[in-house]
Amino acid sequence: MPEYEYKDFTKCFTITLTADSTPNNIGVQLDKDADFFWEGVQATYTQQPYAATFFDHTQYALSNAPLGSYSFASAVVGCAPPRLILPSLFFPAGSAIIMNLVELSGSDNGPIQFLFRGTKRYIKKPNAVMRGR
Amino acid sequence: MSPSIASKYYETPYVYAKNYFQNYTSLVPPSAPNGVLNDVIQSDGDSDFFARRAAGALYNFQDMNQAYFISAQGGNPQGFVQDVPLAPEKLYPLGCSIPIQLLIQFGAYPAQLTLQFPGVTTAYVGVAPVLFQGAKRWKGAPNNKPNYKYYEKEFNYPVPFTQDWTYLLSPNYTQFNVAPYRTFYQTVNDYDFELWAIEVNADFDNNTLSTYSGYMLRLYDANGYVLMKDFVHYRNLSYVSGFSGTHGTPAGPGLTNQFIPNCFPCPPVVFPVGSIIKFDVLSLLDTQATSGTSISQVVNFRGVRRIPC
Repeated sequence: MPEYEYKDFTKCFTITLTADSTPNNIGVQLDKDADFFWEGVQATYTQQPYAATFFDHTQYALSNAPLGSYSFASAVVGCAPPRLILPSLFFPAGSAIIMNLVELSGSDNGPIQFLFRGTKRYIKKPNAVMRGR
Repeated sequence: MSPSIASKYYETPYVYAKNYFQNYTSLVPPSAPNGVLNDVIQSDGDSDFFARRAAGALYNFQDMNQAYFISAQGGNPQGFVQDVPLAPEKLYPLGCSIPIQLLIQFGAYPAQLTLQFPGVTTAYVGVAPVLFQGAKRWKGAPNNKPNYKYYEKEFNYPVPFTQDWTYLLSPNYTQFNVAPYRTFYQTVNDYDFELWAIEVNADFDNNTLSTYSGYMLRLYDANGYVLMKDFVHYRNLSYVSGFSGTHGTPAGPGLTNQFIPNCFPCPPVVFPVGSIIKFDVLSLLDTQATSGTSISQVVNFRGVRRIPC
């Protein structure tokens, strides 16, 4: 069994939705250097509604219909508490968080910044010294 | 709870709630003596109840011996300024009703919301809710333990509906005939589902409705038993869009940092695969120009699936 080191990590993703658009299978590529445990999400509150269906790397959907931005967006991204993903979802290194988005206001909507927050799991290399967290 | 106790009892979430709707047609409620109204929330008579949170229009709070636990002491006619966590919890044994007191000032109940139906004669409805959130304690072992190994994975059931009916039936609002509540359903498919929280979009998305009063909810468990004695406003249930620090509506749409997140249901409620999540909606829409007439609403049932492994 390898030894692991865990470090906080936030994956940022920004998109602007055109009016009434429904882009599917948007992949948020995760880094190849470590596995990722997805523990929370935040997104920009744009004064206009939008919705998202999130999927893990196995195509497991976190909802049976798109989840409105009321559930995960905030006017103060970065300051407000994130919407927690409980229990956290595991993503192998190099996999992707998948989203289907729905623009609901009838106008261009954005830019919307998503912050996918969680923990990276690094395989500890022999004699390596990991600093910080 | 000690292991020996835990093996003999289990808990289910419950809210003892009581709503006071005051109807009047003058600009202010008809004059009546001021004073403290003594009342009770009647016990269901089926189990012990542990109150862990008090909220609403309460003026004074009493325990099962009618000893004052928290008193507003006349300072705030609306009672407590915000939710009060009850720690340690307050026990109301089987059959023991919850004594409550409300402060009546100039004939008015301590309304958190006032609905208005303008017309030749305007109809007003003051809404003063009182609630105690906690858990019922039952003897025996919980019947929601599955006979299979599983792991949990997040899942959400967002249930949309259109709020297009007002609290009072039109057109003769001054007759104060209340519109019936409406019932909505969501089938639980594929896996057993543990309901951990409720989220609503109402205040978050309706940022142009300056006098929007929302709606009240009544939820059921998988066996069709209610989880609350009376309707409870979503701002006292939802993890998002809770009442803000005062008794007003949230300070602004999207400003989730100013909402008080609610924690309901606690403990979680299990809905087996194939069962139905059922809830009733009592609309509090009025006919003020800034209240809206047809609003897209979503109640999101947030929790985890139990996935066999």
